[in-house]
Amino acid sequence: MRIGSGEGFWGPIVWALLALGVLALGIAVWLQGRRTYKKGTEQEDPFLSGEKLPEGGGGVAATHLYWGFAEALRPLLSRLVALHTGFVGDYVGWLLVVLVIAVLVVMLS
Amino acid sequence: MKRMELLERLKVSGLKRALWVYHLNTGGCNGCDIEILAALTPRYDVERFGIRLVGSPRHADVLLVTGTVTRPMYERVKRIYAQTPDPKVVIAIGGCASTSGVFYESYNVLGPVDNVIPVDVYVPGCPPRPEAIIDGVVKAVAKLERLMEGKEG
Repeated sequence: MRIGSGEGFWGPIVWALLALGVLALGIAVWLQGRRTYKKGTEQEDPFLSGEKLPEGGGGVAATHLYWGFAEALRPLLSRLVALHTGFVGDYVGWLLVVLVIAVLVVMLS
Repeated sequence: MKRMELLERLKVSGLKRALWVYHLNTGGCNGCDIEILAALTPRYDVERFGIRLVGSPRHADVLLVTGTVTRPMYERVKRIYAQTPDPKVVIAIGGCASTSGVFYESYNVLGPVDNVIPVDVYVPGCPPRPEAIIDGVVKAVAKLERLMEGKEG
């Protein structure tokens, strides 16, 4: 089955075969990896420049990618976080406030 | 069985062309570190042999240790050695790593590297020339080959 377009074609079987091929290649490479590491020792832990791993693992989280932005915008973010109380009533209240402001802006303009 | 032997041979021959080295300074003056960098510069260019520095001991075949072991580094050296996968080879670069050098029996050091972790190759000098470091790495390759072929424990 092929669906043509101006830019090429979409063949699900071709792409599925390609994905399987890439997967097989990945598994083949993975199987060649070292298996001599000692389980349950520090060889399994992430490397932190030789430092002891902190409690909870000490991995690198995705949020660390924008750590600098979060630090720079901390005054704003801390207020925004405070507004997120988790209560539905608060959120509906904010919705109503924004709606009223929007209606007033539309009516007065 | 033959296929496995072939794979092992391929791995050993691949090792000759892709030796990954982790450099660790345990308390030196940086003289040896500069010579290691010199070995990487175009004049010596060890990367043409596949020898390259890596950022984590978990990817390394060889630990290149410079400097005598200071007290704060003791735990770190032990941990980094433990985190390097087997088979591995440790090279002590320079007089301080090999014998403590000018810091011999100093109050704030624990002695040469082999007081803390086993060392396979010693490269003396203060600092050793890049040629000597490359010679040490070549000896490390030979040792690693023997380890991978199971000829040495």
